[in-house]
Amino acid sequence: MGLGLLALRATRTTSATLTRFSSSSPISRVPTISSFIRTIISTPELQKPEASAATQSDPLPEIHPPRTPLGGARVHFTNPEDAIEVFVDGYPVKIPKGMTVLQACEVAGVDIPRFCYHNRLSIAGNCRMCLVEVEKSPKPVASCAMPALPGMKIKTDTPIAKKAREGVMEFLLMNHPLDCPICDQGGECDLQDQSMAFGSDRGRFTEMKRSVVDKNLGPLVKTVMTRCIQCTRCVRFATEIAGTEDLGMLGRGSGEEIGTYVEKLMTSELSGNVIDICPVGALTSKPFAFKARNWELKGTESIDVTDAVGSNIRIDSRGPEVMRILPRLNEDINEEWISDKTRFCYDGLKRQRLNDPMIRGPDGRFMSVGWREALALVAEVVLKVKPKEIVGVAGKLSDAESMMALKDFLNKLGSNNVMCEGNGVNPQADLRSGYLLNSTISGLEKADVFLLVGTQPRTEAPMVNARIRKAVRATQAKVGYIGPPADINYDHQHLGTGPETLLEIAKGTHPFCASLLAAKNPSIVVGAGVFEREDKDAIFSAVETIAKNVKAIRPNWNGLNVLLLNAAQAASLDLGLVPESENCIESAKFLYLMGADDTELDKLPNEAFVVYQGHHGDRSVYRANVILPASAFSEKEGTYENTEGCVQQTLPAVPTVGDARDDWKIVRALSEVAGTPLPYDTLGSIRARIRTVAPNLLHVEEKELPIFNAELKPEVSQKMSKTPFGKAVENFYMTDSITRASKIMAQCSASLLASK
Amino acid sequence: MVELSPSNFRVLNRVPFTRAKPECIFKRVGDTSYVYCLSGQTKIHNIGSTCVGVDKFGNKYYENLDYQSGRHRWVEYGDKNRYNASQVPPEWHGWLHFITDHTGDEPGRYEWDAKILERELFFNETQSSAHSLPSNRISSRVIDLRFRHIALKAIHVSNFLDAIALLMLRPKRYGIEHKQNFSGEGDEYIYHSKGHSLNPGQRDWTRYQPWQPTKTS
Repeated sequence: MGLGLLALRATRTTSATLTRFSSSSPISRVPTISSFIRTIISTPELQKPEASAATQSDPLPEIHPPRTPLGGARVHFTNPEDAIEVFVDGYPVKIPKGMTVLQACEVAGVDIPRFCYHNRLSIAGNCRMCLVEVEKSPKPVASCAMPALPGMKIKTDTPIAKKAREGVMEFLLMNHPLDCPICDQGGECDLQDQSMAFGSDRGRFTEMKRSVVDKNLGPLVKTVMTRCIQCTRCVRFATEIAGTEDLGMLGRGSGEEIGTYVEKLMTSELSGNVIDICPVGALTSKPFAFKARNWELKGTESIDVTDAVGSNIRIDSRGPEVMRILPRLNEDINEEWISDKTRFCYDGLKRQRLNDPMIRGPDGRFMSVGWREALALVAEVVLKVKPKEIVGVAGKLSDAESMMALKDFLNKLGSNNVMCEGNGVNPQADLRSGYLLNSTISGLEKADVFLLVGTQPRTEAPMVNARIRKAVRATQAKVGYIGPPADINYDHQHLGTGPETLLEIAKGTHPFCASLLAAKNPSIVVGAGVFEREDKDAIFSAVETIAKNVKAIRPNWNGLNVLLLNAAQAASLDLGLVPESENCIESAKFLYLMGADDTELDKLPNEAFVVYQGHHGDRSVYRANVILPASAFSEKEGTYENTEGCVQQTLPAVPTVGDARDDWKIVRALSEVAGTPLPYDTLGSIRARIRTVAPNLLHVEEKELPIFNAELKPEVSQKMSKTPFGKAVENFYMTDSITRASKIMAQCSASLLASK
Repeated sequence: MVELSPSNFRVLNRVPFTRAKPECIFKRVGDTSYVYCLSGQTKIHNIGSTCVGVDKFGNKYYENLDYQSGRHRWVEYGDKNRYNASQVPPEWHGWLHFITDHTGDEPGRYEWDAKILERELFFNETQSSAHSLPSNRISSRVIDLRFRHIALKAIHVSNFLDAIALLMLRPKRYGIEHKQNFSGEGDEYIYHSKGHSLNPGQRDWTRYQPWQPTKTS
């Protein structure tokens, strides 16, 4: 709720009172022009609502300007007969049955001030800020908790409602410290905004303010508990969405406190979201504390690349520095939450950066050189090597454009050994349904039975995990899990650890089959960690058998899902980054690593020439002969496809560091120096090239669902091994070069993993 | 920082990436700067300014009357790597510091010998003739009031208008050749503006930490 909107609203109501007073009752004290200009008024009429109600007993029929619903609020009638009509300030509005008064007001375009109400959390009704007047009700009612009834006459700008808000605000500010100048929420604080718009201009409280001891919630969330107004949004978020019952309410009356019952850290991977939902400055970001003011920041709407979900984020930057990362609303992907890794990995963007092209000298040390020398050296070496011995590996964070350029470049040199890490040595890239989350992230809510095969969504994709949890909470969906013992934050059955359980389910002998068969929308989620296994084809054929048995693939429901791990994976398989030979790295003489840090380089021959192109000095740099500095995701425009096949683009928020360049530009320049120039030199023309390979990668913010299903796949005769499934993500907080460079992530993995 | 040397430029920007970009930059900066850009340094402040003259050390003197008063004259040192204010010879010092409007390379009109000057200024009290002063006189209408005290003094000289001409006079040199001071003495007193790379209080605006190898292999 922006301050401007609130101020506008306050002015509008004031002018309405002005006209009403002057027209209907000339005897009453006519407000002067000065009170019209001021947006906050305390008038004698407001102190005595009965008297003012008596003076305007016969109001003139008012003509309302047409109003638009707030914040794009839309009404969806599942059953047209359920529609009821209520009147908000005399304005008729049709809403479905079961909506609250507050929602009805939102549809009518009236913004009700609120603190405890949040439309993704359960209703608490304890802040009392949303009081409105309802005709024939003796007292003002809390609109967030009151269901709207047919024919209800809701009044939001009467003196009673105004006085109620003013009174509530006075009570809230009673114990709230006056420390806005040193508060990190200052400028984006709901209490600040609403006290300007709805509060009184003075308080009557003369006692001492209460103070509360701060709690330690770990390295991410800073608490200043004296500022807390006990809205309990954070408690409800922790129990309902994050699924960790860490926070709670202690004490009664003025001794009421939010806290962990015993001294402990908040162990959720979504804990950063309590910073966003806290309406005051009680919970703020610890790494961001006292770093910047929100009005100094430039927001850039971008995409997260630390996992395969592609959460929509806003990168807030000041000058050349990323200051913080906030979520952006996207109902289909991340709703309005992001994981802690996404939110706090940004300090990794400022550490361990590669800023100059470097060449390893004869003494084994790196020395900075110009681009000309570095590219000339690489081109000289690559032209001497046999085409078969050239291998390219794209990293976890590569965008589609640079992967396209890398593949085209190596193909021009005569090699077809291009791969993307995380996809295994022999990925299946022919059928898109074989590597996408086919029922889509938001579609997971409709599923009623889940079978998780070798995947721990909580660490691999926390936003997907939040969806599964939402489904489990909302519809009591059953979850069966096959894999190593894991910390899953919803009710589930641990069916087994290895592929033999999968075979049992495929044969129909396992007890969980009954629930799968009874399910309306069964959803089978296979982790991308399976890609790295030798027997992945056998496992996938077993999973497909299960899907066929339980009728998981129907025209309107596709319940066979693969949950990918990395941001680059889906796009790389769409572009066909499949190596020609399975053991190409063992025989490579020239290895081009494009940000690939998790590739096993032990088997690489010692004499092989390694080029590392990337933005961080991480694992693979130490094996490199030439380092080419590239830009990170916050510094470039790139296309990423998430695990459900939704294509999104990042936008540059900050300039690149040092002499670094965009990935595709480096590959393009290298191809020119090597004498095989690629036929594109703008982002537009490289996308035109992508259009010929994978046209879906150009349909930004659209999900291109796979057309063909697994039935087209050839029969496999692979033997399934007995090796149990492993954990694909060992440490949730450190999975790629950015997060491994981040100090905050290191603190998290040290303190939070130790506390478990 | 990216040095815009022609070699880097061709390899990384023009040829491989986009052909339109370099020209765009130059068009915005103006045609005069094209040469400067290619010769190694982009000097945006020189665009639209007039080069008033060059002295014997190769220092170039610029003027742009559109700029803020007091900043409208500047020198571009001939030696870019090693410079200090002593490189400005005395005949240009007056122009550069707004003492006079006469540039250091104006030909002979006022090039007076120190001896003549001395004679005219101090020996005219003995009623000698001052008619050897330059003959181009300034009209009395432009004489400013602030010259009056000089004028009163100049009654002794011979002629009021001749005294004004004397005021415009600038000695050529004091009998010795000007020398640049590169001894390093007094360098710590040289003023460097806040953003200058030699300003001792300059802040490091690098907001990232470059990679430091932690192990050798």
